[in-house]
Amino acid sequence: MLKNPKVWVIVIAAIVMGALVKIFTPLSIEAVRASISFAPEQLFAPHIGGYVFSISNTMCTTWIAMLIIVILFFFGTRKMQLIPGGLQNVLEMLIEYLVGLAESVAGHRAMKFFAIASTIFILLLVSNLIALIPGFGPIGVIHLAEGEHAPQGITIIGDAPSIFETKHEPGQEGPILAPFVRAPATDLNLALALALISVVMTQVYGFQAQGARYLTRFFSFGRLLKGNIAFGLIDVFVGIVELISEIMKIVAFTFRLFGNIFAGEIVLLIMAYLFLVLPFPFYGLELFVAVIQAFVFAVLTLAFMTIASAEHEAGAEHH
Amino acid sequence: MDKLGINIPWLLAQLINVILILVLLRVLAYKPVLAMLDKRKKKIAESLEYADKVKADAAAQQKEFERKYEEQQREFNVRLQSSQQVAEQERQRIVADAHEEALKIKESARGELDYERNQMVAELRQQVIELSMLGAQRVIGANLDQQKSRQLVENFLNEVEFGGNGQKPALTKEGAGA
Amino acid sequence: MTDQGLRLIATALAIGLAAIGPGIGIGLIAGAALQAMGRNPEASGTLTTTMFIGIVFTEALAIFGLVIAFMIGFKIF
Repeated sequence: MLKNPKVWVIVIAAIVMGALVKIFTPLSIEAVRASISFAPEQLFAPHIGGYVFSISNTMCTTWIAMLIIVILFFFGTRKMQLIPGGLQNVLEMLIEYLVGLAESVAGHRAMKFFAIASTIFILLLVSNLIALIPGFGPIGVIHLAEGEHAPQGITIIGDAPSIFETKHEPGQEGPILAPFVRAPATDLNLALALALISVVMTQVYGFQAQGARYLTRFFSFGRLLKGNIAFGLIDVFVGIVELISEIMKIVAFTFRLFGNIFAGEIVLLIMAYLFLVLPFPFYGLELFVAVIQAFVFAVLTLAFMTIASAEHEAGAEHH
Repeated sequence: MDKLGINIPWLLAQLINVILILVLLRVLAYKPVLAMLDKRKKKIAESLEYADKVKADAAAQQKEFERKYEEQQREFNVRLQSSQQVAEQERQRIVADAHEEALKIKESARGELDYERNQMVAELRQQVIELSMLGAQRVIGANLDQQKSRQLVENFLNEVEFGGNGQKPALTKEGAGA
Repeated sequence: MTDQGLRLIATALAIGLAAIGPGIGIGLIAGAALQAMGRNPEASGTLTTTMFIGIVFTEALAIFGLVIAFMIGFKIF
């Protein structure tokens, strides 16, 4: 898709438009500060059946990404032809590439792990890329207190429709801009959800491949009970380290994804604040990071799953 | 945790999102695309196999054809040779026949010629005898004994013939016989 | 020194110190990968993938520092 020159022209035009917007409305540091928020902002809070559902902007963007994926795949695979063309060709190339990737990492177990890894890849790829469309980030709802003025660089178009219910934390200083569209990966909830699915499914596949023996990876008292105190204690210690490393995997997955994408957004924002054309090289870098993070999340998932279900041989050797 | 933006409802919602997209992708993408890739792989393998088969068939046919062609060529050669032999025999036979015929014709022609010639010679002799007898009668004036004079002339003629042309044994024999 | 000043120093130190190790590490990984590619150019495809995975593992440490820096800077704790 990126080989298509038309797509490139659209991307470049969008970058130029973003730059023009920044020329005419230079940012102030207050505007930058208002745009940066660690937590995703609440956009809607519909009351349904007595419950209040808080819907964040990252949630909306996740849905948009999901919708794009579903539409793409629905129209791409609706009328499958033996000789592919257009969209079907692109999607088939993507899937084929992912199958090849899974096979190169996981070998004969590839098709078992393929679905989760490639779902993570496709979801992250689409959501990271749509979040990089220029102009998506800075448009949103800003909550101004009584008598407060919007910081320089933020243009107030009008009153927000009443369906938007942004939160204003009591301790917060200054206004907060809640963008309509925010990169889903800058939501720790999504990152954590993906990490949880990845790590939990890794354990599930480990159990499936090795049965109860998989538990000896974490709780190996075999040598300790045989009376070999020194090595037994080492085994117990290694098991504890493995257990901690599984938990650290969740943390690492979460913060790697979140940190990269969130830092990318902040870098773009600060570069835009510092100088007009400075975001361009970083924009390219962020495109790269968006793809690499999706790729890395998928590959690491595959690799961990492969290690967890292939430890059978190593375990047999160990005992 | 709350300041990080992590809270249980949002986390659950995102988990549901991910599981939903997993199911949707499985239904919309992986199943049809993998089935299609598999189908295409099979199809390509099939058509390759078919192409190999066709190639092998063609090669076999080519070989068969060549074999048949050679066989026919050989047969043709054999037939050609035999017919050539036959033709040669026929030719020889015809030539021999013709030769024989020609000889026969020649022979018969010669026989006829001889006969005619003998006839003519006999006639001539008769005339010569008569003329000479007539001449002699005139000269002598006497009537010679026919029988005797004839004998005389004939003897003379025989002598002439012997002296002049000895290649006519038939004539002499005949003459001698007469 | 005000609280805000301390917070800024802590933010800068958090990301600054966290970037040292991974910086060296990524340099080592890339250098080793380039050497390996130079010795065996046919394997550069797999080497690139593996290099990226290695870089990402190393980079994660810097990212942790960055996240901590954000947390300090945005007064999350």
